[in-house]
Amino acid sequence: MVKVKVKLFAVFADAVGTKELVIDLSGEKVKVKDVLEYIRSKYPKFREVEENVPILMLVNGINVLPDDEVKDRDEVSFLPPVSGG
Amino acid sequence: MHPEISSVNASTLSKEEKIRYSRQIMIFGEEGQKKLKSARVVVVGVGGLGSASSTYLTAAGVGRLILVDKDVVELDNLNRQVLHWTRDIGKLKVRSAAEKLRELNPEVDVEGLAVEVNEESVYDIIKEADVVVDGLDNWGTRMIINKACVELGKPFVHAGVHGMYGQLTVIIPHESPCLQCIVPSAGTKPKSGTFPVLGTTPAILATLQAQEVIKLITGHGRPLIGKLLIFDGTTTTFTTIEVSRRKNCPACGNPAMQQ
Ligand SMILES: [Zn+2]
Repeated sequence: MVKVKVKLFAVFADAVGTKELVIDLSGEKVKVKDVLEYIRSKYPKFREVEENVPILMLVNGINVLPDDEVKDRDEVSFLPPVSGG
Repeated sequence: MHPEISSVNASTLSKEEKIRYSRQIMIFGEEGQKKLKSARVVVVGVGGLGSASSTYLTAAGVGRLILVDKDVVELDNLNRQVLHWTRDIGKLKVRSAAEKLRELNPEVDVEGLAVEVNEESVYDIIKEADVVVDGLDNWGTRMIINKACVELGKPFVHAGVHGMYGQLTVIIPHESPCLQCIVPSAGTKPKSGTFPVLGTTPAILATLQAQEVIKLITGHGRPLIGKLLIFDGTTTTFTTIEVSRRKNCPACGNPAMQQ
């Protein structure tokens, strides 16, 4: 079991309705994309927002890719870098 | 001056200039002001971000300011693009902006380029720049500028806005992560859509951009290199996170690099 704290920023927090979640994921090796998939399945609005906004993914403050690993008690952040000017 | 910036520093300040800039000369000295006077800054996009950054860069006395935008002023620009006024609707943005900036500070050599930024034109647009400032409204064109800045070794001060949200970072090629390292999932096709935005949001981010440019040029303070500042205007929160380079980055990657 891997317990992670998920921090959501800006439009992602709006979509989920909170800035912070604590989630438990089963499995030996958990990846960032598993965390994403969990949020997508629980919060359909997140998926909607995601279609139009790129995601910046961080694990413990370092930018990572979907295939990177997440360990127990890591902090995963999802931020939407915005593109208007 | 940041070591990446290598403009000559041969200028002197007139009596008027010493008075005009006296309050900031108190911060970084006449030496800092002369560095600003010798600097060439390119602002790509004269919309919400570019209006504010170019205003403050002009007031601060950069030597040469090159504005790049192919668009004309439209009515729905006016809530945020404060260099363009009601009478300017239909006028080229670079012309509308340059007129006011020259009046604000005749010491600054303001030039406007009404050209499209693409893979071919980008090199000519940025080749003379000591610093390139992001005033764009889409990821695709930003990534074109990002790649060219990496190739030519130009510092690139990025900001983006949406609604009351925004972000900012300073990119020093081969030293800090580039934009593609930070946002690998952003589309690379130039595409600009209609996005919600309150005028104050680009003003906040763009004045920070101008400040980072001035820091890079004068060498005063520590620019936001390798860090991304996230602004949430709905809660008035600034968050700064560390960002790292990717060795397989298509724009700046080097497989031999230590990560
Ligand atoms: Zn890169």
